[in-house]
Amino acid sequence: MEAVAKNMFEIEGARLAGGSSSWAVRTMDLRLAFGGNRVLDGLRLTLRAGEAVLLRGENGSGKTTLLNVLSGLIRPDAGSVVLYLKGRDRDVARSSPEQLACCGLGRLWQDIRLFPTMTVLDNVLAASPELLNRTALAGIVFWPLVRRQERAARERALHNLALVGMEDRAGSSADMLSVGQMKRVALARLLQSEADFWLLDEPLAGLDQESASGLLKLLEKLNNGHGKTMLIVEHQHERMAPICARTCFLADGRLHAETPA
Amino acid sequence: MSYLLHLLIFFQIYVIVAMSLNLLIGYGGLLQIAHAAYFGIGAYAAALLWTKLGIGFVPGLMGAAAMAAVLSLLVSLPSWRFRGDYFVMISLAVQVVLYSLMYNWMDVTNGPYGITAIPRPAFSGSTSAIQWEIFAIYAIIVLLLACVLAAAKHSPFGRSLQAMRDDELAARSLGIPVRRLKVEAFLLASALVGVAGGLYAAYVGYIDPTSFTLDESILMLSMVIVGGTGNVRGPLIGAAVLIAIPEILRFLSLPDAVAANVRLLAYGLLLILMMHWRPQGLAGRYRFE
Repeated sequence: MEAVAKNMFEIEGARLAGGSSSWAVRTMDLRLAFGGNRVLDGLRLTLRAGEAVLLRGENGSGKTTLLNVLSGLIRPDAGSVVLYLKGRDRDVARSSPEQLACCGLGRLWQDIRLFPTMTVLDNVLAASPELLNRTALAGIVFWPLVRRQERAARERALHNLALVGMEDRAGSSADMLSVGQMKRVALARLLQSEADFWLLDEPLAGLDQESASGLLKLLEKLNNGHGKTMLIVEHQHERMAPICARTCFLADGRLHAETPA
Repeated sequence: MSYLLHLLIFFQIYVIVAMSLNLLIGYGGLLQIAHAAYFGIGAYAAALLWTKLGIGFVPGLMGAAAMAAVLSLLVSLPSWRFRGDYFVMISLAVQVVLYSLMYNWMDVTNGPYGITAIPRPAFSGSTSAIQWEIFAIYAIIVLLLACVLAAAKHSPFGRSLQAMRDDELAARSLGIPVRRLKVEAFLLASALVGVAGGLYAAYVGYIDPTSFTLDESILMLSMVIVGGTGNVRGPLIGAAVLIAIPEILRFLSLPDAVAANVRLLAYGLLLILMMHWRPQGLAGRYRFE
């Protein structure tokens, strides 16, 4: 059975990637039900590395649930999800959200989820991969070494904040920001995490026209210039579609149609 | 002067207790109500090492820290699966189990009779000089432990701990290893409160299980909540206020039977007032809920 699934993966991957193995995510026959309600029903999706894909669908069609599955937060009832991150395959069902994040999966949450009692700079620094595995003991015993690493991470964080136009608010408490500013800080946090595959859940929600335009330009730049793979869930699809390579429609737990953007 | 020094020494011991609990509650958002049990484990471990094995003061304290830290795994390991109210229940169960162990393990703890003749870390003969020496030694230890906590708090570990407290799911999605963080926070906090237990045993010279009950855990929790969580000042203020209340009531010359109840009423009233008017504590930043 596994061999058949693997074979189907390869066929699907080859079809989408023109025979190369440059895919970033592949889901195969994904099934998930909450109670009697089937949310994902045999879903198949493949994203090429560096590709931005817009995921559309009605409310309750399973878009956010799919992102939760890809993030490792929900285990599917059946089917498989494989991410190709940092040069190796990752079976999502066997990985924790922390492991996936360390391998290059990043997420922008619909409700943003900054750390409200921390400063903007600390919010961004918290995502520094080089500091994540520093233990309490290392922080106490080897503090000069950790301090040096921290200084380098701080410079990178300030650079990322400058990219999203938030460097002047580095010392502000995160709960004092507007929704648009929070979204930009969350993006800087994603940049700091050095994730290659981004899951963006409603990035334009709650933003005014100007902020939304700025965010779109930034996402386009990151997709083109930095080669980030993006799966974007967005209700304002007419604004998001131009920066995406294709649009997928999710209904009844399946992808019903796929169109170039 | 002797009375004032006595209060200051107790203040030093409880500052360590409140600082260590603040690491869990204030920085990690982990509600711990078994702190008195670890305080007791530290006190018993140090007392046994000093009285039975005759080892020195500092190695005894290190033994107390190690024993409390190892036993903290009882709480921190299941904390991965249990959150919120369930986690508090685990913590409560550990408090009850460890207290029962201290009370009933006659061969080791001497049960309700406790351990007597615990040596003091002093060299002089007169009571006043001994108190000054203990005060000075304890001040050095408090400063040292405060530096350890400050280094931990200002390290990536401290930042990750605060991120976990603010939003565990978001922290996990950034790759912050919350399971390891919780274990480390409990190890560090328990080691520190174990040292405080050793200092308590060395100062009072006699310990029994009644000093390490659930009431004592609630008192320690009150210090952190009243003083305020998430910063350095809070535990200092909380320890000072909660130590001062019974001493102030002492001057009212109430009968003993009444004084104990009035003290409990005063604690309860203080907590209710704090929850209503200043839930973040007198000097707190983070509003613990």
